[in-house]
Amino acid sequence: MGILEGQFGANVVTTSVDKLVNWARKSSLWPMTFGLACCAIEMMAAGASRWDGFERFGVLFRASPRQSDVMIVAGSVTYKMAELIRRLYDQMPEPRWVISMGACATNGGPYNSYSHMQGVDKVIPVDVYVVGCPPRPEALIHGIIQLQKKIEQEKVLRK
Amino acid sequence: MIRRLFREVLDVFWPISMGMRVTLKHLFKVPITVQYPTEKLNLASRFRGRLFCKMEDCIGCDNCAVVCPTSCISMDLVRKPKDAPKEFTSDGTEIKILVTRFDIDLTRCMFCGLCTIPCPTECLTMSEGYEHAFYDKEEWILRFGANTENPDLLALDPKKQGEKVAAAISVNSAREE
Repeated sequence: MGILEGQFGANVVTTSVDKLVNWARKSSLWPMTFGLACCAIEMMAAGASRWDGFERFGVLFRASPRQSDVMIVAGSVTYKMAELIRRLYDQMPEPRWVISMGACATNGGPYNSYSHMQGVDKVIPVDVYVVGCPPRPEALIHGIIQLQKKIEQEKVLRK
Repeated sequence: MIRRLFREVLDVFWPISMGMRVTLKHLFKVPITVQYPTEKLNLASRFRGRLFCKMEDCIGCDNCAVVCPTSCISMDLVRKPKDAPKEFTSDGTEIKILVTRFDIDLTRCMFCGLCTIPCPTECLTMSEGYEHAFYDKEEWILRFGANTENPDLLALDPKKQGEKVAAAISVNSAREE
């Protein structure tokens, strides 16, 4: 939205525009095709025909960070990978959101070691944490629904 | 000539018909997709979900915290004053130690169920909850904070326990508010 963003008070026009923009944003969340560990397998299961949990909600995996809105950090984040995660996050166009999936990405999980980052929120801001080891596909779908609820609350034109 | 034409047409349409046969077969099958938020799959009877602690039965043995591979369970323990009335768990074990804080960091928990095995009174169990999504990390630290219903018991002998009990009571009362 550029220069118009966060410039106006709440009135009929701005709240309606915000509602429209947020509806558009939440209805086509495109995550990046990106998996780090075993949580990624569960993420694929969530997208497969048993749950079909992504395309029913307009979530469609894109192959490039330039085309995506959401990053699902699925798996344990090593220090070696953290640098690349930050770079990929910086390559995504705004507005962008991050789902931290699983115990490893959220808090380090069982890997309290020299090589593992204790939570991906040390390098990128996380919007929704989905917890489990790994989470069930339903839990990830629930996380996506929670993210959509969060996007609905966002302010675009309003201050 | 005509025979060759028929043959070529057949060569094209035969593989397509093979593909369409599969498509048509699936057209009349019941779809397997679970419409998740409205309908849910039945969970297995041994499903390991969110931890739940029945604090009336907890004797503060600390076994679960010791056995946890990710150290996600932490607790504060206070020895019960001797002149306090005796309390028993549902299976008859006497409660000698009060658990003033029983926190399970669900963000670190890996749902292995190891903590439920050594629990002598079987108060720590795994429930069927699995929908954990939240905006803030602190939100999903499960605070079972035991014996909050009788803070008077902790106050029975404040001299012996000193500041620890006082702190525990203030924490408990703050949590209740």
